[in-house]
Amino acid sequence: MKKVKSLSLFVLCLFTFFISGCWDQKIFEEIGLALALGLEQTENGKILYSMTMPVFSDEIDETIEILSTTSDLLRQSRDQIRYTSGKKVEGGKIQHIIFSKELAEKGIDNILDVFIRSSENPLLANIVVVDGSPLEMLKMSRDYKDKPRIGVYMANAINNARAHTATPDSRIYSFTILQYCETIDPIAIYISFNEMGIKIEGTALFNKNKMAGNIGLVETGLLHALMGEKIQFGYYIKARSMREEDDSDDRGISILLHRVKRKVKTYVNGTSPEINISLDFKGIVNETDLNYRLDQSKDKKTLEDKISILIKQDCIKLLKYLQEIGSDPIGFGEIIRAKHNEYFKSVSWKSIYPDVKFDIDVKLNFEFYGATN
Amino acid sequence: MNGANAITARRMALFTFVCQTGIGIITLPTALANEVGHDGWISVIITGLLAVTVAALIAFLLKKNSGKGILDINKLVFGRVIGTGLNFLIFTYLLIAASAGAKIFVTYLRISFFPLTPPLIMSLLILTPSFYMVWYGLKTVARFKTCTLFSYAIILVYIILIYRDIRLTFLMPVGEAGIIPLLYSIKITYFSFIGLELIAVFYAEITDKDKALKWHVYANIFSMLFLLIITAASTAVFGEKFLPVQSVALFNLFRVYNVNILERVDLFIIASWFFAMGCSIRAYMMASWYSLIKICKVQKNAFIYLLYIFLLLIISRIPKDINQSYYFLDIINYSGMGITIFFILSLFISAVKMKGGKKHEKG
Repeated sequence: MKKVKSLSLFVLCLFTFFISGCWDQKIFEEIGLALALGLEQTENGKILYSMTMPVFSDEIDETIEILSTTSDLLRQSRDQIRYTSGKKVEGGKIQHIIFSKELAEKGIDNILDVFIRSSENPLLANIVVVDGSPLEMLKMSRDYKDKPRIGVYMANAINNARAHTATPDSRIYSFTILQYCETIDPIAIYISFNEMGIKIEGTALFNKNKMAGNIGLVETGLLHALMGEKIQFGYYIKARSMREEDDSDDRGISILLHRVKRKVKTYVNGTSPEINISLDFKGIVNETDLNYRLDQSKDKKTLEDKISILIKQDCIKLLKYLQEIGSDPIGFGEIIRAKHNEYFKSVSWKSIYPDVKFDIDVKLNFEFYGATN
Repeated sequence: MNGANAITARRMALFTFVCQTGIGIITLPTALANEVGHDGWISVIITGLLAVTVAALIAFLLKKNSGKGILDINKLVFGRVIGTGLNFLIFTYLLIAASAGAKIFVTYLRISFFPLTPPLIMSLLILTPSFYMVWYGLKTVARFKTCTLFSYAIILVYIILIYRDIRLTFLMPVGEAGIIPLLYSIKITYFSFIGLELIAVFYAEITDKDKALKWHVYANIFSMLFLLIITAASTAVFGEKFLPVQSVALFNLFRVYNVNILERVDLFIIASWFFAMGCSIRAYMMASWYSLIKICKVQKNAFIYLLYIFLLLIISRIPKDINQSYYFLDIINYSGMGITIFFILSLFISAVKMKGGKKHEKG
């Protein structure tokens, strides 16, 4: 017994040597942590791969290092970059994968494979489409003297926009799941940039793997409502669109839509499916100079109904646009597949989708209207 | 009854539960998605009910056999020579099952954390605690399984946390796969319930045999529920088309939750699940070592034990890549089904023809 104990203890001690000298160890000082990854297509059809890594040395003025190379495969690009950076570049902390709009329109296909396949890579990185060249944006970010490093700056901007449902929560795993499922089209964060900084523009819409269009900030909020997801966005109405008197000097009203209940009913009896959507919004009046006494139930109801009609019009406009570009991020195809499977199998959803008839019912209730009436 | 091996029926139930779910759950959602698409969870329920029935039958027949384990019963039923030969086959199955488990454990480690670390080093590293515990007997091994409850709790909490990524429509329409494919998939799902037969090996060591049937049924019900939750959650998150292309679906499920500051938590959860995986392998190691001691009719012997460890490591080195490892595991799973049927037959013959061993005892 003593022998076994001694032997076990010896073996355990012996293994501590192996643990400390692990084959897969990564020493912090020797690695470069890629935080943002840019992907765009070159003229010869290859992928231009660019990345930023934070610089931690006091001897160097720059706060980020930007590296780029071209190849057919992402892993090949990373390895090529290792030869020029002098560091062992690791992708485990990548926060953003930025596609150029041009590349996104040509199709993302299996570019994200390396992130799914290699478990050291994060599946939580944001999928971003930029209007322009990602490399150019990364280079320009060096001039953003009043902003943090681009990776952190983008993360803050995206998180803030996401909290106000101005851009979707699109990450590698969710994007890939939707790519595979074929009945819900993926969406991505859509941004632009200039000398002053980057700007969240809304949502990049995809038709299967290809970017087919984009929508703005308020439309993204409405898209979230139609998707039945959590919302919190400002909805702004000009006085004129309320059909107030044309010569009125009123500016309009701003409301915060912060909750929605969505109900979807689908009918497939006719030649094309009919989808009834009911949206029950809860809102808060933030600012108004319209002539309504909100403490009077009748006035409040009148205003709620008028704004409901405007929201409904915007939703119809959004759905028409989605049908035009053949993008189904709301997942009507998925609902039809789940609830009317026989019908779904008998048609090609993508060809039927543009002809789907939508009927939307919008209700709005102001929970309160601030400290004044 | 050896004091170092004596366990209660409740501990035996935990032993069975961890043995069934520790490794089997990692690839079950993928295997079921390949067979029956999004209806994998239905297959788990059907197979779970079948497994509960088989488990109850084994425990019932064991109860009818004078409290003996299968190794003793085989000798009584088939005679000393044939019985010992059959027991040696059982030992071989258990040893190969432990080796296959060790190999697949190392494979998962390489996929998840250490792609370049030599497998032999990792095998030794992960199996050393098992070698230590198995030497001290069934009681030690069974008690340690309590630690794995923490891993199960973490996973269940994690499933709640990812509720926003769950799409119930991914599980619809219910029963689309059809009855025949669902029935065919029982074979695959049953692989995850293998381990229910181990009670027959250790039955003689259970101190409160009157509760063994009840706890063994509970163990299989809990296994069914756990497998059901994981299969349904994996399908509802990934969908039936993305799931089949994944090699380690459970570990990928751990990669989709974003935590403030830490960002990714997969490494922590996978590391905690290694407890359960280690315990799952250890169950077969314990069963094979226990069988060897019983067959050889010897007390614990350090030399034999080292030989046993050497044999286990050698067998675990046979599969050269992940495909061979899965193939190896499949062979073990099919053998496990055969062994379970053999146990039932042997116990049944013993219970009916020899009146539960009493006749033999009297003779």
